[in-house]
Amino acid sequence: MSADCPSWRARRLAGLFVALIAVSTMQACSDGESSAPVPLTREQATLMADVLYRNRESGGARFSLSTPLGPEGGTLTMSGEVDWTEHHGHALVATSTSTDDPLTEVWWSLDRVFERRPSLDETLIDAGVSLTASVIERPVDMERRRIDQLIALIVALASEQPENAGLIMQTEGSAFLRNDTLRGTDVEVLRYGERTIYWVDPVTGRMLRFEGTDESRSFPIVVDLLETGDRDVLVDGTLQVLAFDDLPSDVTARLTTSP
Amino acid sequence: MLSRPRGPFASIIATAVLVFSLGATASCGSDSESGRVISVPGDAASIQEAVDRAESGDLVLIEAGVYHESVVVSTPRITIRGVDRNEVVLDGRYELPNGFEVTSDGVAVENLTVHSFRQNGVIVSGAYRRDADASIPVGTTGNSIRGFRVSHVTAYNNGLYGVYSFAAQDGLIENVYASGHPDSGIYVGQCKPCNTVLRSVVAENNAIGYYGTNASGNVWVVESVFRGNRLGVAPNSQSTEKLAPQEDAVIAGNLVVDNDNVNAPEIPMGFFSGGIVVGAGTRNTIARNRVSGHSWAGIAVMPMNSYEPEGNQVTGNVMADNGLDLVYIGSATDGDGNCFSDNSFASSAPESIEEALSCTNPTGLARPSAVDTQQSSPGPDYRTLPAPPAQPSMPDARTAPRTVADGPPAYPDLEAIVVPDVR
Repeated sequence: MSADCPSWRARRLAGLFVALIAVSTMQACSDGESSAPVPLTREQATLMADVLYRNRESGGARFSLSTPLGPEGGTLTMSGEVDWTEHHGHALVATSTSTDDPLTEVWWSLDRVFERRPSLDETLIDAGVSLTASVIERPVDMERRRIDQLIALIVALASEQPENAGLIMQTEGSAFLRNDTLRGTDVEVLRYGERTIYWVDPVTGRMLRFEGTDESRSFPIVVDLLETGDRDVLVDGTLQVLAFDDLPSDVTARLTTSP
Repeated sequence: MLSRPRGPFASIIATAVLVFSLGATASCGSDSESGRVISVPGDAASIQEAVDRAESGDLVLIEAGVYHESVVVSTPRITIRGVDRNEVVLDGRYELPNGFEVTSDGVAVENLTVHSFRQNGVIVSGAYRRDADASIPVGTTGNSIRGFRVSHVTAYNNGLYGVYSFAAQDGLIENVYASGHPDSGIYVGQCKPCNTVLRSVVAENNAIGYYGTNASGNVWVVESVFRGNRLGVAPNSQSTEKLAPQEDAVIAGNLVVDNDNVNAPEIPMGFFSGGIVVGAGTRNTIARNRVSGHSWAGIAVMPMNSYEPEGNQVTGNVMADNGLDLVYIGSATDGDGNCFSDNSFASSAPESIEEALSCTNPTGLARPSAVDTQQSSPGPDYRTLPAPPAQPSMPDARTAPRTVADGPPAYPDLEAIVVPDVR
């Protein structure tokens, strides 16, 4: 994958995304939230302060993400892997309801996104583009692209340094919600601020689940981190990379309305 | 702002960023000879065990050795002391969170080394109090730690701060050496009045030497050395902590040198190359420091987040070899009370700064003053930095009287502080 920006920019961005999560006032989506959250203990705040840094240290993760497709209902899911060192990633994308030119697969680097939309291949071939299977490369577009907002959140689940436990503790809304079990592991469910929630294994300090919302503050998101470790993510070399700006205008217009 | 994010994700980040006398012995506190001495490992197998057994007035005396502990101190008014600063070592092995985490009043940590902790070397924090009146702002009188001392401590290569006081008042940080931190070597935050003195400290090869976010009231950073960090000394106001804006600190008699070191760890937010940078502080006194070797600015007074600097006095400093010796950035053409007088300098922005923003007869600025700041660049992994050289131990550590760290420290005599020599 290409990464036009030097890595230090990536590192800075990662830290800033952490801040985005930390100060978010978005809607939460826990279905089992305790009716009586209690203030964090010193140990819990310290655990939370370290959790995104531990993600970064782990190198990357396999993940699954689920979020409502839109106000009309339906679900968008992503399953893939993220490299928190290089800020690359890859995911299979699916929606529970049909969309035009569905996005089925996505790769990303720091500032580029590569979309696989199989239904477009036929259209492009009809338009005279010579190809067998394509992936469309374009810049990050946080304003209009829901998928980019979701990618940003996945990238932001790792930070370059621990956070300040004291600040977590005094952030309004931070609380211990409950003990729970997730995928057979005992976890503490800890809320950071009003509306973001960490599911953390207190033994290893690992985050198993993140709950928050996307940039639009409209859609709850659940990200499960399934397996951490180094990742080496590359665009499928058998695909022909097409630059978004080189596509026919009627095609690009269609692409901006889909996730 | 000291720095701004750039790149394709910057737009969504923007709203979130607001989420950035030598040799004198401590006179803070009172002598206490009545307590017991609990020796580690003689009387207790671990430092934590000794601390837990200690009662107010006791001395925990730690013998030479390497201890892999993260010690939580909740017993008030005890002294924790190593017999040799360089031979009593707490090593977090990048697995443990903090070397010492002090959550009680009047605790002294002395004469030892803390390194390789994931978060802080020594943290004194009032954030965890459960006995305080919740209606009182955290960090103010009635809802903070009262009394602390960190003396003859070496802190290096910890993941956040070397020595960190947060929501703590009446503190003394002296004869501390801090290096290799990807945030600040020494940090005083969220206190008002802080009543805290830093003196005779050395902070080098950190992302920031001293950082004082919303640390207001009787904050003294004096007669210390800030050398080879990415940023030297930065009292500042931030909305991410309570009690903004920052007010009433004295930065005097310090040697502030070469704080544009790209080989120091990088802070993700990317501050870079300033000797003393007042980030939107109010009524700070920056006096008689020697400031040299900064590619951007020697002393800068500038806005930060949504705050503007007001009423800061920059006087009698000796500047050399800085990109700009003196900098004022602000929208107020009258300078908002920020003033510059009697400094030895060669360059400034705006030009003729000591006329336009004189402390006695300011003529004012023709227009708001704006200067580009410098962006940071990648730095080394803090865990890979070498250990610092041995530092001077506390004299007679085994027999020196213990001093409970209660009450405000003795404040320096500002008039007696002179510009330090080059070292």
